[in-house]
Amino acid sequence: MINSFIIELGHISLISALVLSIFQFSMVFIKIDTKYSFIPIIPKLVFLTTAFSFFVLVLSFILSDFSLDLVSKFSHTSKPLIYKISGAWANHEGSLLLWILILVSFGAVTSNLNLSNKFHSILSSTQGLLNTLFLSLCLFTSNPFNRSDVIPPDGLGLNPVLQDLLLAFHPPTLYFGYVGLSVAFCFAIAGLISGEIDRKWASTVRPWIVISWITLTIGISLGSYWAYYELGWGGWWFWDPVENAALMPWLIATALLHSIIVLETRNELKSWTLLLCILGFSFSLLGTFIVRSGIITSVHSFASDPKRGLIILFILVLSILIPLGIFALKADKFGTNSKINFLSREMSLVINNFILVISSFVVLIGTMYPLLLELINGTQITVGKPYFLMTLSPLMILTLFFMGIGPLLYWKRNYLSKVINIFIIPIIISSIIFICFILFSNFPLVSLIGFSLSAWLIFNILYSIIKDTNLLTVFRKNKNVKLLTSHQLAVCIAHIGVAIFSIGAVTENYFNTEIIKQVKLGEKFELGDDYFIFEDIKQNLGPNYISEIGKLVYYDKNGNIISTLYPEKRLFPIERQSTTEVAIYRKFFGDVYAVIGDGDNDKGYTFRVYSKPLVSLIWIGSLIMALGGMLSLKTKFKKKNFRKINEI
Amino acid sequence: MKKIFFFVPLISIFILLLLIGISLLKQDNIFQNNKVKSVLIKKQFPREQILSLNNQKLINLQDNLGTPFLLNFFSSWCEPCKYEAEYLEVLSNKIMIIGIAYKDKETDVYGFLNNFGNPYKKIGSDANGETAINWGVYGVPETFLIDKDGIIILRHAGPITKDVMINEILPKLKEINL
Repeated sequence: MINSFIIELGHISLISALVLSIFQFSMVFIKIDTKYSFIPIIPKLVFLTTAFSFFVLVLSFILSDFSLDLVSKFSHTSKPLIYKISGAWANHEGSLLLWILILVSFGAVTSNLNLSNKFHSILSSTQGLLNTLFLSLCLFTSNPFNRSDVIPPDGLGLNPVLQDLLLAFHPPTLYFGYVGLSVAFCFAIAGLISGEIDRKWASTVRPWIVISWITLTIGISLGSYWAYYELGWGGWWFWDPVENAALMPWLIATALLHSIIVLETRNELKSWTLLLCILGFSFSLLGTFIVRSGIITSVHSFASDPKRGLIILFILVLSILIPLGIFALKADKFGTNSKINFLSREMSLVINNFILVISSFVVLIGTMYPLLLELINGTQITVGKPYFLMTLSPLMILTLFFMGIGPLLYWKRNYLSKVINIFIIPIIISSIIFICFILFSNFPLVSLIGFSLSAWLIFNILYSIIKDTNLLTVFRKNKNVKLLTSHQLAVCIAHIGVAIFSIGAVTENYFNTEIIKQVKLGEKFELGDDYFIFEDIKQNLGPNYISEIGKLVYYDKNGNIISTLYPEKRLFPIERQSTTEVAIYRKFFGDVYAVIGDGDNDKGYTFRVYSKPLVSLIWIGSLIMALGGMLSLKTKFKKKNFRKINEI
Repeated sequence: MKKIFFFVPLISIFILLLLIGISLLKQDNIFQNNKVKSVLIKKQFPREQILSLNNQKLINLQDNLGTPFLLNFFSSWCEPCKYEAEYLEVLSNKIMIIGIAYKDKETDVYGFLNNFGNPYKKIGSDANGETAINWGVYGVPETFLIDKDGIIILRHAGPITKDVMINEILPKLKEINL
């Protein structure tokens, strides 16, 4: 047990963070902003005090100090150290504190930016208000430093499903992305109030958007991969409300990522970009906190308290509606200067922006619809995969199409004849692929459209690389080969990631095969051409669980052993819960995925085996997207980066 | 005219939050305090023999049939147990209290009783926590009230505070004429 004094010090430290945040918020009203040296210090103090209290919380988890209510409920003396640490944020209170820690650290870092005095004081105040709201939520409704009334000697454990290394890193990464969008949010509010929205504003805020987009992408992929191998349901995306909650801000952030480039290079799309800045973080907030209010249930649910739900709602109203109100009143000052030409790179970006925003609203409606329907006539329904596939597939098809066009067009305007020249070859090639598939295969139509458009996108990217590096003309006109700029490279890599992801997602959806069978020892069952023999079952004792491990030998159609799979089922006696440990055999062209279910030696055991072609492309594609994002961090747009239409 | 468009996001998110608010308020249990209920309430207490603290003899809880008693799980290492000691002292004037030292050492327990007082008529030892499992104990301290027929009529997890004593335990004692 650590000293009670240290715990109280952590508690007091968190309270001082709240007091400092209130001060940071009020600075703009009491005109301290004239003494400029004041401003950057306060956010750093807020960060230090919050960081200290988070450190104390983690320390009490490491030392299993059960005098803290939270530790006694979510930790256990028999747990391995790494899961004791991650236990600190595997619950509502601790994860809220981590969330706040990331929020205030962004506040501390942005306090060093070189901004105009007026803008900076409004920005700092806005961040102060956000800190105040969420620190109050933490201290008054979800205090992690509450002491326990009842002390269990070993702790009440941690959900065994959460005892996973990947999951220790999934929430922090995702939170970083969610909260990173708060920078753009606060920048938009400060910009709306001060009126300083220009290309400099865009270039200051863009890296923060890119960073949050990268971490959101990685965080979502980690979560999806974890669900794939840990939950044992055979899928990678379940349209669970919390997954949707992460997808919505990601879609908005993706739109924002593109519109901010238009603002930075062309000084256009101001009000649209501002709206996206506000919506991105608002959707993060909605997603994160609706789940905690207890009105939506999901695998990610925290134990909830309805009274807390109302307070969370109140905070959401303040932090979302006020900025949207400011936007509604001030946005007309940031109108567009000139009309956007239909045949231009801007237009394809605008179209994709609209599609992405519509997609995020489609996801929002799908997530909220069961709730609203229950409210109207009391019926309980779930909106699942069919709805999302039906609504999002056409939208994604359009996105892939316009993604192929945009990077090949110039800014401002293009001549129709030149555009036709550029796109005639990719259109022909994609159509040939499409027609060949229709003639020589019996694949479902939607999957064919998906494949052809992925091919279209990849071809157009390769074509733009050839064009941008002058590879085609270098022999004819004696020109030098140009290297791609970091921006062009980033675009190519990120978009190739999208194409790879689409191929993986489409294949997983339309071409996976599965078998569920009860098998006795020594029996054989088939999946496609291959077959499996259930050879053995063993009992095993882990550090805090008992497990049953099946031995499945995997043969190809000629009777050669390909591999041996060991699917496992773990029973955690303390938590009275069991988890499945999936056995996955990875091939270049796909995974074979085996899960062992209940059973005994007389009746046999239930096995579920899936063949999932190309499934790993889903995560490989996502990581390539994130890599593209990282490269684009290096980009600095300068005036001379404009390409004129009479170039070439 | 164009300005109206800028209000669309505000109004749509407002309606969404409003609907969420309404459905939150409609949840039945919103202002109810739901407590963990024990399945043992209104049932006979688990029959078992408990080793006494100094390992000298067995305590047979059935011997107490005919007189109501409080069964209190406590530990010397438990901070809230120190807090409830003074209220147990008060209650010990009205009803017999049997203590069970949960996952504890004999010497530590005697040290604890010397410091905070001994309200217990008998003290059993539950060194490995088995008795606690039989009683469905959530953690220490935890207190059960058993009537003269051996039926559990009250269970309180957590320390007995002044409030708990006055509003929960004393009324129950009155019901069974104590």
